[in-house]
Amino acid sequence: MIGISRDGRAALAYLAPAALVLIGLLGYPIYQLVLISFYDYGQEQVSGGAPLNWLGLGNYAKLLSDSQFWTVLAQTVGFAACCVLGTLLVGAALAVLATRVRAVPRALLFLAALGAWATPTVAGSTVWLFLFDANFGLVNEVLGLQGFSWTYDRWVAFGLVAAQVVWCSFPFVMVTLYAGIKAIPGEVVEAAALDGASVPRTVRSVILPLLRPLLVVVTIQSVIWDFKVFTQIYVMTGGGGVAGGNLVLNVYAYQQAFAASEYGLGSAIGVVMTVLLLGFTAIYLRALRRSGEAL
Amino acid sequence: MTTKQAWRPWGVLAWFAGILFVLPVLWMVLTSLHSESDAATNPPSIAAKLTFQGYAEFFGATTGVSPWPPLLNSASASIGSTVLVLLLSVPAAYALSIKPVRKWSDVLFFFLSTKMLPVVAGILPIYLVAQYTGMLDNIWFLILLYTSMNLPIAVWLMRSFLAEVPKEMLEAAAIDGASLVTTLRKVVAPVAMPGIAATSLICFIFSWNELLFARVLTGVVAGTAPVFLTSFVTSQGLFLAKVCAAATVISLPVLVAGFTAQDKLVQGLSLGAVK
Repeated sequence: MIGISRDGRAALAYLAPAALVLIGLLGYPIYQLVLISFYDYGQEQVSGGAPLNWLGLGNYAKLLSDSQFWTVLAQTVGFAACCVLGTLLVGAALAVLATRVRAVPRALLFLAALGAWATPTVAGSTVWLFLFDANFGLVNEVLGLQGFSWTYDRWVAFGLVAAQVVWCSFPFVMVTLYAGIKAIPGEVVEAAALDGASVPRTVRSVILPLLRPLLVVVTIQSVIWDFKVFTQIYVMTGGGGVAGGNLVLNVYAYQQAFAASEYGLGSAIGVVMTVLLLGFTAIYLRALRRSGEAL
Repeated sequence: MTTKQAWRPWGVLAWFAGILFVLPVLWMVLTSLHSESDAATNPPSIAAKLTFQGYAEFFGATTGVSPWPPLLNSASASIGSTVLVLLLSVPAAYALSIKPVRKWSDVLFFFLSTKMLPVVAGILPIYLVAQYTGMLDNIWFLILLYTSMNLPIAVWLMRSFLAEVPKEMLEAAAIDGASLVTTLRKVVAPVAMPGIAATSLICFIFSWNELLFARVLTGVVAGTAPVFLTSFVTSQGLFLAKVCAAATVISLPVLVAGFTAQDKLVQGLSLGAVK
């Protein structure tokens, strides 16, 4: 436990309110989620019309022996990885770009970022869907691809949704990293240049290490977001694509829980997702800590 | 990092990227100003006649349904939760950065881990809690949920901002016997203010656009603007202009707040960004 000095007790007192709110509002539902995942929990159980039927690990056994679950899991991991990578690359590239240009193009970049950030996800997904519409879309008009459907083929659809997810989430990365680059003292970069360091070398040895704490935050945030993508897939592929080809775990859980009224099974998927995210973040943070500075 | 002169190709690239990334928003605004029949033509009519019909529809010209209650609900949920997030995260971040807790990174990890609950799966237990406590369709429940949703990232960001406060000033305050509130107000706030403002804006944006919790937990009384918006996206085609008008109105507060405060946002986020 934390030290019992006066300072330690004070620190604990400052942390307690925030921790209590989180435990109350999110910890308790997580506990309930785990509990529900052990039951055969359907519509009758929610309304209290039927007794609970304890399944133990039954839902998990059903899930893990279902080949669709493994397909969806693999798709989710691949999709999230592409989105995270794309978001970080686009966000970082635009952040660097914004530090290098005059005020007017910089204002345009910020307008683009804030516009993407401000647009509600449902509206953004709908607008993208119309921009890429097979017959009416501006994109097909410009590219001369009339009649080409962006949502029929499984991988093309995944690509389109991934692009939309990147468009939605690059602003946070761009603004945070732009602020970070701005905070690097000019002398540090100039000193590197005086020592004859090339630009890539300066970026690798000076700028990236300084930005590391920020990069960790935006990476973890992006992983958490993109692993849990729901709205974009739901709206843009009509709830999971042709024959469920574009399902990701979150939409799959929604289908099981709400469309099929199998709340127990849906909860089990939720628990698996939470455990995977926890595991990933713990390993990532541990690896960072081992490789040097704390965070 | 100071740039002495802008290199030309960077400028061209910035214009290209900026226009490409702003295009969906521009298209949305343009469509919102078209009539429904122009919005759905092939090829897309960029030069079609402009009209405020979509906006009139959004404000209930024919249906008589006012968008103001949902907009006000969104405002109270976003502002209320942002205020609560600040009240809770500043002391927590203060404890983690200024009065260092041993194993503070584990505490941060705990805070962050609560973000990993997938909302879709977590919504049923939360719904049951709301039902049990009689908080369904109650804006206060949404405020509390948004608070817990934004708290982890706020604590994480704020911790690095507060680390910028010089230790000597805090020690001096402690010797003078200042209370926590006085210390926070007189010593910490002046240094960390831009960071606090940036965090607030980020929390505000996330709450303003949240959909899933609001969709499931609210009804006619406490429904928020994004929920109202989804009721517009009922069928495709002829309602596109109306949907775009609604989305534009809903995006506007965030866009205006963000664009006017962008310098403050950057200044705030750059606090403690580099150690």
